[in-house]
Amino acid sequence: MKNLKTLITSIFSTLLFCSQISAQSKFAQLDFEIPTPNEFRNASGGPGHNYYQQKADYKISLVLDDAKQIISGEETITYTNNSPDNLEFLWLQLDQNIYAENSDSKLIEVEKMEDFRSISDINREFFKYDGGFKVESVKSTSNQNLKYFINKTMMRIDLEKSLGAKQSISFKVKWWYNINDRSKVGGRSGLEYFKEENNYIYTIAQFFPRMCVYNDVEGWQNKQFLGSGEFTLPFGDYEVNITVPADHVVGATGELQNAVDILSSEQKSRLKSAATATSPVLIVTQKEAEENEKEGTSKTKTWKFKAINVRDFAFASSRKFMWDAQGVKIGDKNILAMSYYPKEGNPLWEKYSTKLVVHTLKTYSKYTTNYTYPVAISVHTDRIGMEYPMICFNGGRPEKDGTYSEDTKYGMWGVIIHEVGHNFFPMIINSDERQWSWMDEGLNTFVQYLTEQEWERGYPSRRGPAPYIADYMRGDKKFISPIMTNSESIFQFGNNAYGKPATALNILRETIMGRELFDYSFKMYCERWKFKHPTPADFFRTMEDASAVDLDWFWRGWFFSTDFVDISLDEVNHFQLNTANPDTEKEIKRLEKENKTLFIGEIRNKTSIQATINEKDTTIDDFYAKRNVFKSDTLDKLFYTENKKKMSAEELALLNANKQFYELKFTNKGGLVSPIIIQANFEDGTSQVTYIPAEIWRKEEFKVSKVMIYDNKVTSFQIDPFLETADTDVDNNAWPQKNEPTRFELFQQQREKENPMQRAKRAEELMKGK
Amino acid sequence: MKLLFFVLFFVCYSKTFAHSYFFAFAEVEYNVMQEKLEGTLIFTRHDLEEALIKKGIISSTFEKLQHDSLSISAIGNTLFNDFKFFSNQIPIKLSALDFSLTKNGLIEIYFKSEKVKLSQNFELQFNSLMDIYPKQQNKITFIQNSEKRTYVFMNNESRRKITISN
Repeated sequence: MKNLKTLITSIFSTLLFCSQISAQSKFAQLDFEIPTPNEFRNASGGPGHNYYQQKADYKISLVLDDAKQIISGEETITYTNNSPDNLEFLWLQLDQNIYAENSDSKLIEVEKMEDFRSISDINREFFKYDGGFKVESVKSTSNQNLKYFINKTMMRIDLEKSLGAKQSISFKVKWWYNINDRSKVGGRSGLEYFKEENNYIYTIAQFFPRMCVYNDVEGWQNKQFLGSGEFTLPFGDYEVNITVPADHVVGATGELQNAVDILSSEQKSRLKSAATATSPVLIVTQKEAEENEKEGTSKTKTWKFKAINVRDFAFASSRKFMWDAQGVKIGDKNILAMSYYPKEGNPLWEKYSTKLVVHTLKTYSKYTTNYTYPVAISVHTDRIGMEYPMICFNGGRPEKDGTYSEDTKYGMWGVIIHEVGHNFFPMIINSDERQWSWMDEGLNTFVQYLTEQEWERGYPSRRGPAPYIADYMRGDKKFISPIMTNSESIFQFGNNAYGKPATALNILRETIMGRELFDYSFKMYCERWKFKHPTPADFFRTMEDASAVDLDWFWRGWFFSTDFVDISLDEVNHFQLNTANPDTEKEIKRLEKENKTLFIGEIRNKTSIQATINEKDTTIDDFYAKRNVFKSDTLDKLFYTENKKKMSAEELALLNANKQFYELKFTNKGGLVSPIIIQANFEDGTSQVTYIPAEIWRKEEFKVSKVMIYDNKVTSFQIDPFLETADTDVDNNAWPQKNEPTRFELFQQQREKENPMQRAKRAEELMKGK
Repeated sequence: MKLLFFVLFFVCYSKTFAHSYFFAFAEVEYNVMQEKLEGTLIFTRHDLEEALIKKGIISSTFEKLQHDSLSISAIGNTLFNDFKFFSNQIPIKLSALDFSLTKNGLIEIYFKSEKVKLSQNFELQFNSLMDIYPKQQNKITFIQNSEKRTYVFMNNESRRKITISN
């Protein structure tokens, strides 16, 4: 019995606790969702006083076999343990093993019989390509074999003696693999084959065994590469020698060290002039590239590159490449913006690519942190977009006749800005991509939007503006992932990792924090974490720390939940103040009675009853019937005079100001708390916008009301008039209610302006005019 | 069970894209006066273009097919294999009227149904592009009497029953 009582008390207490939590949960601080600050990451969102990061330096020699499409390499890695921990083993990433025959990435795809409707579907299933790493040896620098174990896309090297704090170790890895053909197996890295001329463009990345990150958050970040969650890499210095056919032109992460040996005197002179040029200078012209691609060669050349403090290395190589460059100064650094592209990329690439690189570096540096690497390169590929330090591979190919669609142009512009922008997220602000795609893709897409808008007024950005995310966010929450979801488990990768965070940051900037506070805080995050490894908590904390805006509710709603914004304006009630002046108030009542809508019977009785009894018999009406209720008497006036004496001049003025009171009632239908932006449109044609912070929902999540007081009478209210909150249903945002036209209705309106015959007639007249 | 082969000779597509979209959306309203479903299908343009070119439904980009009624009809016929309404288990015939292209990379395809009296319970199927992009997710927002309801369709849940108020 005692136990039962205890149980009941316990259940009751729990329910009471839960109900209290529920009422204020939207505004609870993120105490449980993010890690407790510590000596490595402080409570302000900056690096802690004992913050550390590991260093991995590479010396790599590569050979690109153009005849067999094989890349082979030997690398010496020097790994420095800056952590306070002893490391018994080291983990390296073998990302290319996603193309190995035992790869998990294919096995984990959910399939059903409908996926095998065509021969090509079945062909695809049986298509074999052995693209995994062939690791030939792992040795110490004194050529002793080291023990290693390959677990799919990860390789563990077992150390004979633990690597202690502040100690370094060097070792060598020798490997090769078959380069993947993107048209057959896809891939971020790979080759494109030009059958007519038997030529290749190689865009090669995640091509060598790379050190995993070891840090205070994950220990070793050795989560397998399954295809979506990209790369988590430590910073280090690279010296890379790339041996390619002698007629190839190579662009890579880092600065070319042997231009003297590699380039012609003409090319060296052009490259020198490009450094101070205000528009792109061709180092290899189209004519030269077209000449170059006609014949192959069996000779080779070695291009030598050096890159300091980068987290990765990638390169592109082809005999088809044109090459242009333009200098750009960011802070006190002179940077060379460059592009590599085949004739198939023109006319778009020669005209825009390098200019876009320059613009992106400048704009991103303004909003984030200065770009400090010596080069930034955009390489043309067919369709894909992929980023690496100082170099990225971008789609955007005109048609064979040299024309291109507007979609191709904007697609190319967008992808170049996006991929060059990745130099900042995650190449400089080096987040854990394997875990959190949004930390680089989302933040980058947000700054991409800012950059696009500074490139062309009204640029049709694909992502960023709040209304664009509404279709994705509305509806059944079961198939939406919170932004704070591991990269591999996200429904709708593009909308979740790119679109939603970019929109959220836009809303923070435009609506919640304002541009000045946001820009300062966002830049502070970038400055604090440049060339370091931030986590989501570091971002969330810095944005609050630098702005004094409590944003926990915002992170909770936008990043940890699948709620969406749908605030409905349910009801509007109009009130006016009672002035207490009997003359005024009784006149108002008289007018109200006069203007009252009459019941039909009363209207008809006016004519059907010629005279009532009391109209015919004057003795019927008594005091009540004869008194004028709309006229003030002496007592009314005396009472008013006495009351007036008790009021201050300000109170009296307010009483007589004829203020209009409107009680607005709202429902939060989507669950995501949001500011309420109210536009009142007045009788005189003017309007007023009031911003109610989201905290209005702090005690009541679902229904709130607000009284708005104006000098003029309101004819209509509009909620979220500038479409800044990503409200998923704008049809319940107005009073009187008005439905926004559907896309179909807009189409019909457009269509009805001119029927097909009218259009044909207009075309005919146009032709006659010619 | 025998496999049905719809022999479509198109080459293997790139399965891995670093930056994927894979999202389609439909906005559908029942026009009570005309007793017809009216709506718009919205796709990421390059997704749909690539899929239809590879299936041999169109031979050039959408930009070149604007106002070409034969192509619009062919596009519609293909799309309506995977975008269906069933009233009392019977598919409702849909026809494409036109399409427009937005500068930010979307295509909007406008359609209308035959005259139909909607039953209170009907079914929706929206598995467009799921055969090509397994991660495709589609959504329909159904508008009736100014009320909007949104339904999600996934590769493993591409047909749903919905109930409307009469």
